[in-house]
Amino acid sequence: MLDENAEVVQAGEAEKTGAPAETPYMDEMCKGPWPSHAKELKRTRYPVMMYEEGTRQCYTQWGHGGMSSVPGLGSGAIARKSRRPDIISHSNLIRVLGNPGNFYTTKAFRKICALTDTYGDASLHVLTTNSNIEICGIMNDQQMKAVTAELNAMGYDVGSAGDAIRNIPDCMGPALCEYAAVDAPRLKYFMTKHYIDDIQYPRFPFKIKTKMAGCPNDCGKALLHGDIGIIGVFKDLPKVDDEKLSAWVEKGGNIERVCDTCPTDAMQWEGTRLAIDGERCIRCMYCINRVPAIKPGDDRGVAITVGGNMKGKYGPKKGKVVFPFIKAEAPDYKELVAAYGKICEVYDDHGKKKERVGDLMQRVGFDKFLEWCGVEVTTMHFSSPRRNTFYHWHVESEKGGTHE
Amino acid sequence: MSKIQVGGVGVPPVEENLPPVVLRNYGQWDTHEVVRPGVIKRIAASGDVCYTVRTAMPPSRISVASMLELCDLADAYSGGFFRITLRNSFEFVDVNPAKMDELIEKAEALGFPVGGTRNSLHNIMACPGWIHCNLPATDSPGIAKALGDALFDEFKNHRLPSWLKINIGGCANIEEALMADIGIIGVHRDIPIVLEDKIRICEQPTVIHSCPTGAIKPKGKESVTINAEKCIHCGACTMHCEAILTGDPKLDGFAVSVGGKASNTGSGPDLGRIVIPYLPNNPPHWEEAVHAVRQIMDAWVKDAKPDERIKEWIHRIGWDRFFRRAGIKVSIKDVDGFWFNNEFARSDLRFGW
Repeated sequence: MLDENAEVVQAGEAEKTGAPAETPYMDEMCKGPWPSHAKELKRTRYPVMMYEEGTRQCYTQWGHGGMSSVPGLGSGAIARKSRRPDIISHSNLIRVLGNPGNFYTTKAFRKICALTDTYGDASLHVLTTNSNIEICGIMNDQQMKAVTAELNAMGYDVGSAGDAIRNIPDCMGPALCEYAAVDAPRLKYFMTKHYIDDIQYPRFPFKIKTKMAGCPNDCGKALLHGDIGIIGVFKDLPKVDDEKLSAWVEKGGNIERVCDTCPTDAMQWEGTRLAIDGERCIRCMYCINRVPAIKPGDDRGVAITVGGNMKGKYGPKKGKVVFPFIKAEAPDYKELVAAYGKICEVYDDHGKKKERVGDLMQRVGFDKFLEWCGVEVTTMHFSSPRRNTFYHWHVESEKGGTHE
Repeated sequence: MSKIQVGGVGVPPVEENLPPVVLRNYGQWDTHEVVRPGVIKRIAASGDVCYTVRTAMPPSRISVASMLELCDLADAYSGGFFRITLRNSFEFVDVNPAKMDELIEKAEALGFPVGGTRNSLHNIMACPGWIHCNLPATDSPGIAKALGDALFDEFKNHRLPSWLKINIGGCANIEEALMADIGIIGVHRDIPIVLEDKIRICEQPTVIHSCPTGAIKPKGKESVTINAEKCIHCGACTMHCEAILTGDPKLDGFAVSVGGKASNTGSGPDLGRIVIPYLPNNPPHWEEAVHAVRQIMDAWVKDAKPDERIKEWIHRIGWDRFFRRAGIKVSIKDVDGFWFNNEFARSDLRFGW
């Protein structure tokens, strides 16, 4: 076994000098029209035998990992041990916070590439599930510090690991999209600046993944998997430009079908004019997505959902609406910061160690959570009222609990 | 909320990375159309036009060499500006339409196919899997690659009823999988191993309390035991403790979910439901995964109305008919026995015989 491994390492070494390495599984994965990760790995100094062996044995060759505490680096450094010290002892990485709207210039990105080539193994994880860039294959703390210093010099920062507020991914928002009800990229810039210490220095019971989306289409999937989701919404009816709509219909746009398939039957096409029934419309974006002449209304803000997660302790959960509508007004986003801060505070106060905020809600009850957040309950907070009568009657304020 | 003050750099300002045409028309976009698969034309109120070209990306990792090649293309054809979409596609922003064909030809020659807009297969998202993680039960990049190859024509053409998004997570921890129309989630089936000689380095109260079913109990003062009857193979203990190992080459595999959707249109956002509880790992071609996805996709394509995502399709026909039409065998594993078990059991007689 040992000999075999020694050979394996040599094969990996040989690759650098141009001789073919024996990686039958990876070679197989290099074929085909879809971009291949195996091909990419082979173009880097990534220890390909780790992946090859993993695929051959159907079992990962990497060991435990997680946020590693490098003084001065905050939470951007992530360590990963190996179960195959004969191939590689460990491989760490630096997590770079993604740009607002995920727009990049080649000038900046070339620098990130150069850093990866100098300090890492020349492989990048471009956009993790939280829209970070990972500079992979860094071997020691000095290199991590050097990378971070150079990233900071070009205006980028590291962070988003451990029990911290994670990087806040956002959609492209009004930069390229006509639907956006909130300026997601600028809000991301503001939030990152405002909460940078909480992003870099973990202090919560568990991670807080904050996701952002510009409109109820929710491209950022903020409601589904954000511990805290910030989603642009509008309160008034969609705006209809009747002239433009008529032109669209003349060009062959099928407005009848859109009216028919409106989820709540709120639309009526009257030949030259579109009537939207305010009593029925649920602001779901269906018509807006399909008809270019319909736009989100002007009374815009954000909804904040809390508690979505994939695993958690009690399984996958969707987020729940805690703040259905708050204004998000630049430059200081006062209401939004107050609401966001409140949620973090409640979580910090009541969450048990390694308990996601969604699990906290499940444990204490959604009513309790709303109470802690100081929210005045409206019908926007539930999809249906409750089915049981097992309330917590307050002893003092509601005369419950005690016998006279 | 009281804040600590250390001070970091944060992220670059929004304006720094935007092409001039985007900056000029920020918030003034009026409409967009998909000119051809992968190419979106965005039209501003001022009449300005911005073309974006979207390519697929390799699952999980990309080499610096490839990234620099893409940067070269972006320099030559989109003024040095690009964006990475939330589904990790690479998007050239503000491409000159006269040079569009040239760019697409060159990108495809480099191995980055252009497509993945509208009614097609969108870029496949995958976690690092066996490339760089200790938790996965399955190799998500490998499956993503196999699926991408198998469904390549769907990526290049607009011929599906609606969008098809496929996400792959290597273990129950990965959040993306249940959010997609079709998701693949790694499934462990083994009882975690406790390394008695190393367990002392872990915070044992955290490990014990992290178990959702209370399967972990202290063993003496220095170790823990895991109750096999209670274990649900979620991997929480492995995540919090280095000395507990999960995963077995012969037992690991993956599950398939359908019907996740984020948008509030139609019947609203929801997480997917798991319809195939276990399929074995089979690298490098992952025939089982490809077959399962094809089965579901073909049934959907045959049956769906135009514009109908998989979730809406299932919403319309019901789960009885979904299982029948997709040819998936139902088993006791499809019944939720964890926490939400009452809600997902059937309490109506509206059967789809």
